[in-house]
Amino acid sequence: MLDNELDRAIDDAAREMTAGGPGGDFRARVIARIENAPRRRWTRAIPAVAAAAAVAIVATVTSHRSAVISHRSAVTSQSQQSTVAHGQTPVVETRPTPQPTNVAQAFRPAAADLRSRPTSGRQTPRPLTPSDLDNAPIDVPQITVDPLPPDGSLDVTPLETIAPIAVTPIDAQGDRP
Amino acid sequence: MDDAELVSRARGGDAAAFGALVDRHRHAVYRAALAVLRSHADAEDAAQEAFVKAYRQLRGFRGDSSFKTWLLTIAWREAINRRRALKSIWRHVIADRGLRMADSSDDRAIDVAAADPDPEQMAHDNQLRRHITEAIDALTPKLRDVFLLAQTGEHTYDEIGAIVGAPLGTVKWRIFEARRVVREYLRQRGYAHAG
Repeated sequence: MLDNELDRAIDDAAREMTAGGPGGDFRARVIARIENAPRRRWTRAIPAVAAAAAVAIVATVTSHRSAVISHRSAVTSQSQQSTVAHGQTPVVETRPTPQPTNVAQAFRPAAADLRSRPTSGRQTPRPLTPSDLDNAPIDVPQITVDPLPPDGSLDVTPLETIAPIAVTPIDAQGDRP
Repeated sequence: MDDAELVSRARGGDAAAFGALVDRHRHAVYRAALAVLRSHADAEDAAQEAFVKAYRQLRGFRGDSSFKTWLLTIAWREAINRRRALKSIWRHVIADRGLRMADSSDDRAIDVAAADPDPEQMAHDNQLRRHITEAIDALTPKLRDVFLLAQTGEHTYDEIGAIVGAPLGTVKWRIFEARRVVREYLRQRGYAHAG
């Protein structure tokens, strides 16, 4: 078979593969789809999507806030209980604001949390044990001090009496004698 | 009335003007879709969808290219996307079988109408055509799409380049390479060629 015959056969076969046409009512179907199809369905979906997103955000924020409030309430009630136990008047409060009387108690759980929190690489100092404080005694002779006598008042020698000095008064003219 | 005037009227809401555009270009759009999808049913759907999209995007048509090229670009994208979506192999197989059965029935009709209905020659031609179809099916999509698009006879090479988004030289090379690969496929099956 010659090249041109083969090429012609290839062209014919390829042309037949794309031969044909749309149906007779193609135009009518296209026009019907244009007139009947809802335009831009996604524009209708925008308010629904926005509402759903808003609801999701509100739900997330509300759940997070309620979790924080419940945590703070738990901390406050714990501090109130400890205050009552110490014989003081419990402070009734609706908001978990720290009070001067129970600040230490209120911060105690937080401090505990800090102690239990992982240190992320930092070294925690090892707590001291009694054995760490047992140092060997130093070999120094004991210093002895004699006790004072019971009536050991100090003897002070009296000073000699000084003779008085005679002083002549100054006369009216101011001349010295 | 030319395309530009029909487009202008269609933009103004004249459905009849757009209907005239559909009538004028439906074959080209359909064949472009068929070159990609190889299924008459899918090509019909893709062609319809391409016209619907073109109508909705008509205000965005700036006239940088001809309306036909712009429309065929939309149809081409629609067909490519549809082919990607057709993941079910059985659907392709069924479509190919239907197309080949239609082709063979057409072949038979042509052969019957031919002046020389030699049964041996008929069998030889049918076998050759089947092998060519197999060879074209075995081409890579880029080669096959451009080759079949060119074979529709509806488009110039420049238009094909605009439709598929490739330079003119690339279009020509793909068509040449597709033909070379098909020839090689046939040569390996005993269809020796000379000169």
